[in-house]
Amino acid sequence: MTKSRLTTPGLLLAAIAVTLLAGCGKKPGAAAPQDLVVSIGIGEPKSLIPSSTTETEGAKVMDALFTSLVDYDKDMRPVDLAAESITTQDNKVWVIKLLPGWTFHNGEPVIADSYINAWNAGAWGPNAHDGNNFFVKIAGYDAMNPTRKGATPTAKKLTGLRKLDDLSFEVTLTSPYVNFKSMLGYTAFLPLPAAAFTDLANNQIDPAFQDAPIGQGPFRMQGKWQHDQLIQTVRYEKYAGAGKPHVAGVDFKIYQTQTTQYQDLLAGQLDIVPQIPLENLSGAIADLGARYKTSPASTIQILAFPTFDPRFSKVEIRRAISKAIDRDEIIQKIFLTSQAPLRSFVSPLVPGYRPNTCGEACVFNPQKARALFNAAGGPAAVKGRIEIAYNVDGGHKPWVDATCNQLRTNLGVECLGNPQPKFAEMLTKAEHKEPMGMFRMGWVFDYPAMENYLWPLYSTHGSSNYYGYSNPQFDHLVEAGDQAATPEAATALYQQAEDLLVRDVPVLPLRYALNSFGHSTRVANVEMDMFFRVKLLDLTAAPN
Amino acid sequence: MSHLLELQDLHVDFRTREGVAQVLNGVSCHVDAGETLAILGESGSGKSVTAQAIMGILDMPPAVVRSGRILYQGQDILAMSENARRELRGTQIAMVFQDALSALNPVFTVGWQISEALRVRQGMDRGAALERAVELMERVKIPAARARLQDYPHQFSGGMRQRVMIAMALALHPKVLIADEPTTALDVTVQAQIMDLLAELKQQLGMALILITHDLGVVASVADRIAVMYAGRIVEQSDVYELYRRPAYPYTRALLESIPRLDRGGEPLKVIRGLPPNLQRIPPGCPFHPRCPIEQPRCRELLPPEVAVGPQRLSACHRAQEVLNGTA
Amino acid sequence: MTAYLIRRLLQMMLTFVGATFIVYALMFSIASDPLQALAGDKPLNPSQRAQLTAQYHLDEPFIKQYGYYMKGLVTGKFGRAISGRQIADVMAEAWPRTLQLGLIALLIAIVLGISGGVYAGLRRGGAFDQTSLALTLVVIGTPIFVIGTVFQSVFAVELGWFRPSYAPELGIATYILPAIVLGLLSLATGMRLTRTSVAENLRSDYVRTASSKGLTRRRIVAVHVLRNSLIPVVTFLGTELGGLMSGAMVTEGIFNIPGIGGRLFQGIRLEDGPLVVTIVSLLILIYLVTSLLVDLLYAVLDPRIRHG
Repeated sequence: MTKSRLTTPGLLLAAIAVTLLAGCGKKPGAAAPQDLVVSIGIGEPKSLIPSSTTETEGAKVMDALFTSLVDYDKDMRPVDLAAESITTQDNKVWVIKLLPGWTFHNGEPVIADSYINAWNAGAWGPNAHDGNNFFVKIAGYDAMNPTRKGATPTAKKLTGLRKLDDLSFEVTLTSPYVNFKSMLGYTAFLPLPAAAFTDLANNQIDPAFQDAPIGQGPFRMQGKWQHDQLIQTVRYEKYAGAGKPHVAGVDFKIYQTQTTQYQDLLAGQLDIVPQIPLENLSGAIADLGARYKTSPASTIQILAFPTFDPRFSKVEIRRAISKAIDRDEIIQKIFLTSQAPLRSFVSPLVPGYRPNTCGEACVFNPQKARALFNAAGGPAAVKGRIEIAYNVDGGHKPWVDATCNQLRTNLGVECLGNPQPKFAEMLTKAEHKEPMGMFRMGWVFDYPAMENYLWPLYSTHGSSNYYGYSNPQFDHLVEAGDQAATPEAATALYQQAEDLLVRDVPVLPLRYALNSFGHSTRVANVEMDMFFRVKLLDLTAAPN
Repeated sequence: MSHLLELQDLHVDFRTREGVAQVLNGVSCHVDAGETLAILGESGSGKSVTAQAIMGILDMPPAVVRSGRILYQGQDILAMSENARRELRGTQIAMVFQDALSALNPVFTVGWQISEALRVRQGMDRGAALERAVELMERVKIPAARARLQDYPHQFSGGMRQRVMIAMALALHPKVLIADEPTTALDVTVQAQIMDLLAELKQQLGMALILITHDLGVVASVADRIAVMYAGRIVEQSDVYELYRRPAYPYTRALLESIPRLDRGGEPLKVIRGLPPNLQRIPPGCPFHPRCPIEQPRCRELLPPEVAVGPQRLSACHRAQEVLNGTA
Repeated sequence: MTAYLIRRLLQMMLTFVGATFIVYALMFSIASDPLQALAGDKPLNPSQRAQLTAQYHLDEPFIKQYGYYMKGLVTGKFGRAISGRQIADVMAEAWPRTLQLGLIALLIAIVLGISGGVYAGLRRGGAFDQTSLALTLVVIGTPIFVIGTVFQSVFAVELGWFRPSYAPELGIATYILPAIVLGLLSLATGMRLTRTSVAENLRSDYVRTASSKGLTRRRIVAVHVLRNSLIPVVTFLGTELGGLMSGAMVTEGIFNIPGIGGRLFQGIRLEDGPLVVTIVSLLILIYLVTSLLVDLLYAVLDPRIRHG
């Protein structure tokens, strides 16, 4: 007994060594181009039901499993993809005709009902889908979504959806909306097969559906969603879309941190890291060479001036602060040029964007900034101190501190970062009008339209207008734009609205994001779209 | 004819960072079968080191045997291989330690500990070894021995624990048993019982017994001969009777005078002045001279040799004869 | 012994109920708006908010929410996490991974810690002893996050001995590197503890007794010294399992192990009371069970405790 006790550690060590040897060195071997399965790093999706997928991780998977009605061209105008045509006379009643011959991965044909059923389920309040709000413009939404607690919906279907024939249906909006076609590219508007439902009449989706969603896209599920680990897809041979995949499948490997994704990329265990975290950026540029790439993304970062904080009520103060911030320096030093300066109130990715609409107010000029600031009352006007609130879980501290340093130096006023545990907490404070200084916000569009920034961020009742900016003229212009007859007319009205922002400076535009991504030597033609999604149909195996 | 066990001019140093302590400085003595030799001395005199040197369980380092020989049945065990020496332990020479509570392993039953040597050294199976352990426990007069086999050391009283130690030492039939202050931790009545037990066992088993003690009173009834140690040397050797009657060394005499005696009632006890020497700086000449009541100038310079002062009697005092005769 | 066991089990139950209550109360008090936390930076529309509030009883008083939770716990229905998944499913997937990670880490700490400690204790002041002391100080002074990242970069990315992230197809081997990182602190502490304990026991009287029996040094060390030296080490390492489980959070994050750590982190971020409390309750349960086991083991190893 005693002798074996002494030797047990040795045996264990040997066993460990053996398993180690067996485990290592199993890097993916070269595959024939068509057989290549590409692995892409993602975070755990929240949901894989189209109308409940509103975050980027789930959207990456949905893009493989589904194909949306529209795509966007170079100028970010919507073009038909799964639709044969999307037409309207008045921007209020839209007729959507589907391309024939499309099938779901289970063989079901894709028909008008596939869309109508899916949208009704998404709009049905009790389902509490995250994308519910996207159906708000369709007639009949309100009856399905009582906001009073305990109230039950009075309708189970959107009155605004009407099937015309198997391959076409009609959508009636509550009021004309010029961007509706652009909106249809969003995940919420994808179809669902009948197999997804347990009770169609009551909009009940099988809870098990999202573990193996059935779509009509270029890739189909291989097995089930292995939570926190892996989602495997293989090429769908009967895919009816114009483009066809050049790879055999896509494995979405689920990671808790992007840093681990990057380590796996370096170790040859992962093909594509869609977003290289800031801390690995300098290394990535050196490690990956040409395999490190950037693409434009729709995220904009702004600093908001809460209207309930009297320190920022003077527009001169707001302008002075804006002029005292050296956006370029922060981008170079802190973001290693993985972001770009923003001097307009919408992202450069939307039609109608004009560079430098902010004009003089966003040009860095410390002398003028100081003069303007002092003329408006100087440090006393802001009670001697400026704070910038930020959520600590988003890695914002470095640039907030740098911004504060600039304000301190250039305006001669005390400036402090005001860390908040979570973004939600910051929003709660803003709702309760608790002063916390300026606060940071980011915005990602859902579909490329100026309105997708203007309305939620700057209109009086905008869903993300936490700082309380209210300008009836602005609201009116955006609404008029929405109801304009043509996209061009709409853009003109939107631009007029943006000009009002230039005058009022309710927020400071700071930066827009470039997406930094990297890939392995096994894949080629890796490109990202503006929704942080890898363009799967472009992917090919790297030439040997 | 050679003795069963004989020490010849044994020198042991303790080498530490603080310096070298000469703990044994030429110890020579012997013991034969059936005989009890008591080694007497105050703490730090080197008596325990002598015992450990014989057993070969000195901590090395810091201990270093500088020179000398330990002959067992005529063979120098210091020259033996470690393995050969280990073979002697328990089977030829065994030892009983002073504090049985710490000397027994707290986490094993006494049955296990007594039988361990039998199993490991003699390859006895567990059952037989335990049977033998019961016999040994009975032999050292532990009541209800079989029932106590599975008990742990802390469940025994001090006296019983010492009996367990003795049983353990006897397990392999040693020819020499060294008992290092076996009764120090015990109360007086139990002390006597243990001493009697040791004497009886020695008699029955025909062993040589080396009894190490600081207590002259304890040895009187048990020992045949006494070796008195001081500062790492044996300063006097004698048979018990002679030594008690006529000590030949001033230190021994002082020790005897410090024992309360019924026949000298009323007289104040004599106390030996001073402290035992620091072994790193043993005074030149006779190491006892700073404390000696009859010290002379030569005692400060000359180390007195061990000289015979009678049959089987040795003393290492310049004035041995005078002490013996009671004239100094 | 039986009475002791029953008393301990009753204590455990009380501790468990009390702990879940406290954790639930803490979660309740920090939760400002779980639904908004769930939605992230996006606004939540009123109808969705109304639905979810009713579904998760978010507008009801604390004691009722706790009541719902405990009712679910007792009837084995853990309910749904705010993220929508069945908590029971999440637990069933995540716990085995964390347990494997923790146990392998513990095993590594035990095997290497004890053997290293014994070696260092036998050769005090030797090269191994000195080096291991220096390394121990480094390990104790370095945050696990740094150790994890460095090990990942060096042993997985640069040398390619391991995978940088969790790879279920490798089976148990995938836990080795993370387990080393996780177990390193326990290993270092356990090694020092063993070393001190061995060194101390080597000087004890019973070792002298054992060698006077003519036993080999090997047997003395392996049987007499080790058995005694292990008593404090077992107590230490046993209670470490609970600590390792909670320490797994960081390690799991670095190596992308989909265990309990990530779920707990997510639960705290989303202010998901039921999920967090379920995880923490199970952590507490593991902690309680391991301390009970350690106490029992302690009694087995040290008869003085058993009869004391």
